[in-house]
Amino acid sequence: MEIDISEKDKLEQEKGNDDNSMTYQSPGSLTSDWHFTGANVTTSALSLVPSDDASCSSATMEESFAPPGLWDHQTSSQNTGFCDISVGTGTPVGIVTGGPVSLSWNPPSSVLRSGIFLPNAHGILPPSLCQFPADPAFIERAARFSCFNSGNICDMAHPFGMSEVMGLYSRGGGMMQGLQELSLAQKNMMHGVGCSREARDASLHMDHAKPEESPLESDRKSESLVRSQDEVKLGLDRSGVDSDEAEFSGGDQDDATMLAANGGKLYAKGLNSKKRKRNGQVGMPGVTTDDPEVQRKGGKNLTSTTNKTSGKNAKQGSQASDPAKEEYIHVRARRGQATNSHSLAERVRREKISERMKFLQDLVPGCNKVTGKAVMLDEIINYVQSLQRQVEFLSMKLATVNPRMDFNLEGLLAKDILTSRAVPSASLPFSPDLPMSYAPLHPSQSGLVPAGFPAMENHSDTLRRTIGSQLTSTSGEFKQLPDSWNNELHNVIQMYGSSGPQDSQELTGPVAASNMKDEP
Amino acid sequence: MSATTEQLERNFTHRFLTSLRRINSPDSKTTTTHAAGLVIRRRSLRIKRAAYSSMARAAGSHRAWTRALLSRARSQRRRQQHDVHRRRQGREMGRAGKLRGLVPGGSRMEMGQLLEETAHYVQCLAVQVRVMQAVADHFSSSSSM
Repeated sequence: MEIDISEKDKLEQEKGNDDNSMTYQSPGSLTSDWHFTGANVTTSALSLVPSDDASCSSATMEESFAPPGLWDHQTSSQNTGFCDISVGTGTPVGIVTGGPVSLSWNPPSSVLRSGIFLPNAHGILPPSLCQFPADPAFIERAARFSCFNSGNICDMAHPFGMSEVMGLYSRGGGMMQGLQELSLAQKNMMHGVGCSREARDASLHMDHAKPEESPLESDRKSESLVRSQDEVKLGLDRSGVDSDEAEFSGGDQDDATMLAANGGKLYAKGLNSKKRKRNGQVGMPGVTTDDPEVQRKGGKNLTSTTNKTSGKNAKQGSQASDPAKEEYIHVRARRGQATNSHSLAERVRREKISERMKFLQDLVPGCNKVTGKAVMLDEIINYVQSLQRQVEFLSMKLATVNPRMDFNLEGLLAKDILTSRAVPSASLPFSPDLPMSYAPLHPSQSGLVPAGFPAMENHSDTLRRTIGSQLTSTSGEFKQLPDSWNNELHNVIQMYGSSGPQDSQELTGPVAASNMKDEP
Repeated sequence: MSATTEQLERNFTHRFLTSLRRINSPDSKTTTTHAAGLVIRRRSLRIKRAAYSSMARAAGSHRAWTRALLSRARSQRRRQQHDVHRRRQGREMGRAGKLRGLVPGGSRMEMGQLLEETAHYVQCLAVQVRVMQAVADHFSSSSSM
């Protein structure tokens, strides 16, 4: 007896950590969780019985040391095990009931109390829930879950409730591995599961992660689903999306019945303060309707809280009715959005376009600060035009060169590939003051003296590298270029001069042309 | 640089150099009858066309712009300069229309596809410029020695 009590005291102190770590360590099967928790129920149970009288505690301890028995006792004694446990009327598992409950758990104390009351008011839990051990850890989680859903009792009573709770534990475990992995897992899940369940799982997940955050998973998932094809096509980075979405936070305390809707609304609010990297120009994802019974075009006419109006891009996951069979993208109208099929398709199209623009933004140098479709398009057009100009200029240059094409092509190829990778360190002086014009160059000025091939390898390497290094390191020099530079190319250089090695290679075009003319 | 970009670069370089050799070696057609400047001009046009064709072939025909480029090259070779501009999309004003004009086959695409093709086109153009620059450098430096 004394040993038990001392053990209990010891366990009390480290109760919180153990319990938390325990639950988080087993992301896998639920049964393992239960067993695990069952094994530790003893400790938690013990800790939760601080002020109970000794007899009661001893009884509980006895039973706690026999986890299966404990569970049987629970199920046998109550049909709605959870409810009765919470009530704790004279049941050995009345551990939970104690007012001075959870002394060792500071955070969940209030949560626990609310959780306790929850099942009381709502005794229609499915019988399957009885199988859950009424350990305080579980109650704490469920309470927290319900609490963060504003006491959304209906969620508990939802037919998917069991899966939710299971999802809760699995999510809780997986969450320790990072939100990113979870989002991926959810994304994979998303394709075959009803959206309501996913929304709940998502919300549970989010609740676990950061209690103050809103369930954004529905938004994230919906966007992922919508973008999945596009992403595959463009090979975009999904992780970026997920991490971005994970940043958003918001409280969720509004409507008891609209889980994701709440999350979405608050998510929109949260977005006001945070920038969405992925869909910057399109605006933040909006609110999502969550009602599981709502069919595909369901939506409410509440005013949306989105500020950035260029696009409301959150989309729900697939419908609960036909999740895995159809292949087109299921879009659900967001809260406050028109539910017309045209507008939905329009929104899909807009989001696709914004995604492509994002991808292009990474491609075109110097577009990171640019926001807005119009400016971005201008940049893209300029870049394409400059590249095409460079091609034309280089072809002109190649035409003037009188190459000795008789030497072997393979050697040329090898050298060519070598030049684009080599990093020589020699320095060649050159003065870029040749006007860039498309007028045919004077043959006499080209100074074309065919030379032996082997001797050229180092030279071209060094020449190229030198030019590149000079361009990258001293882009400021270009401002001192004489006016003989063609304005166009000058602008091009200044525009793309400091973008990096890749651009330096492009910039060697105009500069090397001057080189050509300089040499006698 | 990713593996696909390297492969593209190698493929393009090979084709381009082959075309260059073909263009430059038979000089009898160009040098004798025309002025030196015209020779260079004409040759530069041929080199440019060869560069674009080489890149289109190297990039593969699963891209709409490569197909459009190659079909344009084929039609131009047969001296049929029919204007395929604005075939599908009405002459779109503003930036989108400009972009359609720049990207081969752009007038037939809608916006989403246009942006996607533009992205791939930009990547290939960058490779093309890089390789042509290297070749030009090599030739110019070798000849200037």
